[in-house]
Amino acid sequence: MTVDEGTIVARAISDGQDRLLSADEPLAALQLRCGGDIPGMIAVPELLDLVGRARRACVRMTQAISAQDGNDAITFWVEADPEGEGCAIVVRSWQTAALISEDGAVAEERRVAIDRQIAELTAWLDSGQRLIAANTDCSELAPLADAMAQGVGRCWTDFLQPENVTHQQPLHWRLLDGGPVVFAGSSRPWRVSLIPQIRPGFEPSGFELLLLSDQAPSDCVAIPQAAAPVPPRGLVGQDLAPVLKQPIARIVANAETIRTRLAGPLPDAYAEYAGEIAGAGKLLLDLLDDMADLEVVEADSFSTTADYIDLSDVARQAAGILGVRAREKGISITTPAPADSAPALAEFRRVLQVLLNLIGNAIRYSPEGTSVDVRVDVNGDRARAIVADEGPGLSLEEQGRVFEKFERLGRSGDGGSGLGLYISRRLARAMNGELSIESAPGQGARFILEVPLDPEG
Amino acid sequence: MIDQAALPADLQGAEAAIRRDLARSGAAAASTLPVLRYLVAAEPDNSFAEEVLARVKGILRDVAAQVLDALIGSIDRRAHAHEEVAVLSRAFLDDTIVLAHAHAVALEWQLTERLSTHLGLDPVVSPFVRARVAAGDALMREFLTAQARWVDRQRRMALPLVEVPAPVLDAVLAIVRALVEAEPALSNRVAAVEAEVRLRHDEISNRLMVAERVVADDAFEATAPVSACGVTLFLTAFAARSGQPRDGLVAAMQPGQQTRLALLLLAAGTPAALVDAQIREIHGRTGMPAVLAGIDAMRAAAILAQPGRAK
Repeated sequence: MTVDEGTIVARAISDGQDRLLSADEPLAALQLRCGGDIPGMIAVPELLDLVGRARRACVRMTQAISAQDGNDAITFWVEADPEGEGCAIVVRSWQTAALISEDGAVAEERRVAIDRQIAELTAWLDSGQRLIAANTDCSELAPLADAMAQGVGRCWTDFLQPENVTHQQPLHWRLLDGGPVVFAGSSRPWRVSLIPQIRPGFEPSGFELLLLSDQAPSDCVAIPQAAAPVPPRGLVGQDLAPVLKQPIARIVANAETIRTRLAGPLPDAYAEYAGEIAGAGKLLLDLLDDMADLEVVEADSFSTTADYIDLSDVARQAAGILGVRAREKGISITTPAPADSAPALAEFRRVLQVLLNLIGNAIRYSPEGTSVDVRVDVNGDRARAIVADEGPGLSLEEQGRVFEKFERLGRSGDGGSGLGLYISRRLARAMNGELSIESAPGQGARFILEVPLDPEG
Repeated sequence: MIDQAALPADLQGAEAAIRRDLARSGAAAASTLPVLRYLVAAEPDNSFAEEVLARVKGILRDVAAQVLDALIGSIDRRAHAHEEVAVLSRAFLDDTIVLAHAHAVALEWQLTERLSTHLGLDPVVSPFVRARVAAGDALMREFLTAQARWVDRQRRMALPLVEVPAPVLDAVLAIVRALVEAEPALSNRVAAVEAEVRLRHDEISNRLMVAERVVADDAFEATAPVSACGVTLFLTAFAARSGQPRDGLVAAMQPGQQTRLALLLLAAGTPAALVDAQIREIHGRTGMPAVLAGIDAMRAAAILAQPGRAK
């Protein structure tokens, strides 16, 4: 007996403490991008809330969840079904749309609000950055706050030494804002945030100084963590990317501040330069994500599992996920009819990743108002998914190069890293399949993903 | 642990519980239209603005969490069960004194933030405070510390029990006593907790107490405008001059209350020209309502005392 379950994008399991024990893509990737681990506490706030409620009430609950992963706004439909101590989670209809970037002033306001919320010490400074008052709740910082209270009238940098700055203090506050500081009594990494009290047209009459750390205090009760298997580590993806992301994100944020003239009036040309800096920074962030993927697929230990899937289902899901982006460009996506079937033996999330890349490229490089055709068929012992676009097409020579690492075919400034097709082909081959192209200039391009047929499907 | 909705002993009890519930929802339904009418007609930034409601909720939950901290330990605040915090905050919500104070605190903070944006008035260091601190005033240093602490807490929607006036603290403790009566293990504990909370409350001078001492000091000019002395000191001084409860004056500083505010200021002996300037500071565009010109302190007080009868 089979019950019609509809289309399921992903499944996941949570435990009695609302930790995500396992999750399919794309939920797994979202969990990681939201700062969570697998296994680990559910990091998508609305999902955590839903799963917690379903678990406590022992009732199946269904809800639309919205989340952000830093680049995209994501909406998906979740069913949380209490099972054992935790919940079985089913995800349907995954929609992503480019995040509408907040206006500079709003984003700045939000940053200040968050900094104030997580600050572990707050101090008030006069216009010369001299201490007026200091306040903390944190026992670790109590001696520092006491010292600051004793040292009213002195410059705050006497108590919190800015790292890597040997200049005579105090520097202009904008140069100190956001910088790392050190002080005796704590080994945690700290930074300061300086919020000026500004009357328009005047120099700041004073400042609020927030002392922040990205590392929780030691007296904070640790959330019990399930022992996680140690994944194989690569240099760029696992070690370098997390370290690089923060400073680059900071460059982007500051460039945005300048671009939106938040810090004061500025000639147009400079605002445009700042916009370019921000754009380049965002590209760098995307590139880091791709590099992390690259390392995974190039690792010797990389392998895929063989799921029983239907390429037709996966193609429809991939098209659904990119539907919003396509509509924004006025591009229509034709997907395989439900009756078309191409049963295959391949890993669901990897096939989805490849199809997302192919359809995403088709949308990116096709003129507005054209259509992208996604079809599936069976060819001998192979199941195939074909993504055809009406774009400019590729010459034979270009077709030979298009799957190479960092190959951009002379394009630039469009947000691509030149890694997508390379990674996709590695993935296809890892599944005993192939990714190939048929094209001629002016005729559009057909990308063909082949994977082994499921003989019993 | 603290469970108001304990299983009724018999059917009669169950019926009584249902009736109570029905009465409560009936009362809520009956007030729907007046509340809706007010909300639709209200100006933005009013005393029922979403932010204020969220703050009141946050403050009540924070007070509930503090009580639970004291009752069962504060090692990990996240460990307090949702339901326990909810039961306590609902009990606080039902109490007029506690709710009114939470609302006043939320409104005072909203006003503080609004003036910080519109006038560039520092929430902690107002020009008066800055000048006194520079002059080495020890009392002002104490005020500064208390005010900085309060601002920090307000940003986190927190209201430490040490900061509330004594009648509010009494109300909170009475509610807690009533709630845990049914639980012998907790009843014993609650007496100790109460003593501890009161001791801590008496030990320190909270913001309101220090502010009272500051405005009683000779260095403080009683009719100083809010842009000079900051919201905290302005309200405390205003309360001292007018003899009105401070929390009520906060409500009178809301948009749409210009007439009441003007009367209160006049009745407190503020010269009419100053009243106009002060209302302009607080409300931006509008000053003292023109109809009030020529009304003196006595007359203003009389109208406030009997708004129905005075012409």
